[in-house]
Amino acid sequence: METVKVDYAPKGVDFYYIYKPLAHPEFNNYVVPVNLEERLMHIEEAKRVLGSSITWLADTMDNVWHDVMANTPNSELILDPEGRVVVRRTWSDPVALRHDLEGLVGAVDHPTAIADLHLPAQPRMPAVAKGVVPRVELPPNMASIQVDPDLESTDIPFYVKIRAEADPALLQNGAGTMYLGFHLDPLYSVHWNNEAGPVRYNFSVPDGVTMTNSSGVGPDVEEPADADPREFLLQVDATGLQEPIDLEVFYFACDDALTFCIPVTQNYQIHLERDNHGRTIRTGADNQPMLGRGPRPAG
Amino acid sequence: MIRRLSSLITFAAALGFVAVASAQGPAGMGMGMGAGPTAMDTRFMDIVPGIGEQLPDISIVDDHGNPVNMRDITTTGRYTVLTLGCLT
Repeated sequence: METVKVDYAPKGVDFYYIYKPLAHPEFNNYVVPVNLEERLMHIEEAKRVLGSSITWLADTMDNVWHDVMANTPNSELILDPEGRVVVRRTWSDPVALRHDLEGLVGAVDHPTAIADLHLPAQPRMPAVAKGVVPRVELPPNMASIQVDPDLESTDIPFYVKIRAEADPALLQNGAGTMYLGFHLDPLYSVHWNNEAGPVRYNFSVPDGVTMTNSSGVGPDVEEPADADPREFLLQVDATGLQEPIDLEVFYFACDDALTFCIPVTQNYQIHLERDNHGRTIRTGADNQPMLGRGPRPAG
Repeated sequence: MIRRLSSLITFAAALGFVAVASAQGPAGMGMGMGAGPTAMDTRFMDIVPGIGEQLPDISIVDDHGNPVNMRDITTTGRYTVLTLGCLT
């Protein structure tokens, strides 16, 4: 894509990347931003690791552009000078894009190669231990559900992000299994300080709703610091519940540069409704996290 | 070293910077990575503005958070390529 831009921008073609919801949360430890400011931080991170010269735009937090593009992860459009669509494809494909532009505005004499650009590729690496806290084993066919952080209740960044998933029984019948995961946001360069105390959470369980593990505490970890997610499985019976469930989370946010370690309390609402922009973090084959498991689909 | 290199290549691929083989449909319509249209392909073709159509008059933001109207930036007299992407 960068090479196509280098070759075709001088021939009258504008290129834009549009940043949209994460296709695979947790890949390279990246987690879902909670507000536009954090989405713009993702763009800066993308520029940093890619050295991209393409102009980046960001979708709104209600994902208006992602909806226009049918919630696809890596689709692409070419528009003519009057703004009419001339090519559309479900998956961005730099080879096909170059071919299309050759037909529209002409070939270049000496196409740029990726190696010519000396692009960086530096995914952010955790500064503390990883892989010291076992991951939970999930039931099959879990799907992301909607999580609304209470952004108004705190000026402190959401250093820890929540990911919630539900099994088909919970989504369809209101009774089933919920996954609740607490993931550090690598863009804030923070870690779990295991000497300060574990993450704790507490659901305000509405009348008529039952929930195992409605309160929980993270594990004791021997490592003084780590960056593994804290994960819980809950059995929920919320049959007939129409309202979201309130959740309070407490943790210590400690930065990798050791300049601060502060107690943080933040609140969320968990909706037992599928999040159509949430995507999946699991493979279809064995239902396990995809981290470190080799290539993923683009986007 | 090899494992790290592999990780970096994977990361680049995830961002669409490494060309991937992609079966192509009819002119003006790129399909997914399988032999035939997937459910995603079908949804895409049903919802996304079709060949010859303009984009809806909606605004997103630039990398500083300033509003950007999609129709405005695609009617400048130049060809435009719009690609969806993210860090993962």
